[in-house]
Amino acid sequence: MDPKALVEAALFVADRPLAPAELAQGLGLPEHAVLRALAALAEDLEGDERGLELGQEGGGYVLRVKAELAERVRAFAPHQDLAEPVLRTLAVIAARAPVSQAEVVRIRGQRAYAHIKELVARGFVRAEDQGPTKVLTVTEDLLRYFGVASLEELRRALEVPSSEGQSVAG
Amino acid sequence: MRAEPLELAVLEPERFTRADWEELFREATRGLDPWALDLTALLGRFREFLAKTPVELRVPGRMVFASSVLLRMKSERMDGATTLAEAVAAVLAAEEAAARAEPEPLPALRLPLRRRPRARLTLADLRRAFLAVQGRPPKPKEKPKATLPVEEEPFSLRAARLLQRLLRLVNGSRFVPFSRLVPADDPGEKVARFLELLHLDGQGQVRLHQPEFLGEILVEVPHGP
Repeated sequence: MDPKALVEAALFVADRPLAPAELAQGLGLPEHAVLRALAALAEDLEGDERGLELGQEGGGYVLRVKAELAERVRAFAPHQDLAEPVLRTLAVIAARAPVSQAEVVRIRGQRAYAHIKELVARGFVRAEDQGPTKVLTVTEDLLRYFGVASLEELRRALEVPSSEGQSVAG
Repeated sequence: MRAEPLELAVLEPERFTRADWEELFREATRGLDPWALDLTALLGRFREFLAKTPVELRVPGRMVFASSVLLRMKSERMDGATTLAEAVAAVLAAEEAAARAEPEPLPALRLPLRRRPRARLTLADLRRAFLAVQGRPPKPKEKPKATLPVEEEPFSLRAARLLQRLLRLVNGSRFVPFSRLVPADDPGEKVARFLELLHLDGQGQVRLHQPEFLGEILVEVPHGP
């Protein structure tokens, strides 16, 4: 079986990012073969005639619809990629980054702890310890996900005043 | 004129295998599409045949019964079974053997794996979520839960002190309203004093009365001055 076909099938059915090591273990392939397959798959999907792309989120890989096509095919996907409460917490973090976890919890309530955990796992938010709380920033993966070049551009889309701060974690 | 019943020899089985029956079928179906036979035409031709050939189709019931008995005897002879009971037993044994036999392995059911579609989020979604958060006032801080005051003093000592206080309060009347024992705005204190009163009531030192439902509790001190 072609490793590229196996990797593509695994990414298609998975509902979360898959790390190369996890793919290698699950598919019974050497990790270097998985990495080669991922590179070949990404190259295959690059063309304009393809609707999917190979994305990196939280140290893993996902197959996802290209950003410019997302709105056009929305009607066929009944479930949102992030649940609405989690998305709202992400919006607060994006608008105020860098922002303390305590501040986000003050705005969004106690459930924000679980939301932040999910966002960190997805690779959209980075949390760094700072004293008794954590400081939250958005990642390059998040910017790529929304198809923007910078946090400033993301904040402009949200119509947030630029004086509220800017920080992007790699 | 009524036709006479046919003789038994007329119904011999060999007659049905003769070529004239084949000829009859060929004639009846001539020119018809074998994949879409016109039943009306077929029936019409058969009725014409019957009209031309005088055949008596009525058969006496006794004849049918005798034929069935003969047929059964013949089938038993051919099957090798000597009696009907043995034939039935053989059939039942065959059915039991079939039930005991291992079922044929079915091919494994393989369902296709499909992805549960989840819509990729757009900047418009993020902005909508942001506006939704902005439109909502900050969540109020949760009120601290009311807790019962933890009293270091032993319960029996507190109950004894309450009894002394009751004895001091008793003045002429031996009834003291519960509301005089506790401050009105401290539910924790009310619960603590009430538990002590229940303890004293159990010991027979006081008696509790509540003349009205949910009304004032009266504490009777029977051994008061």
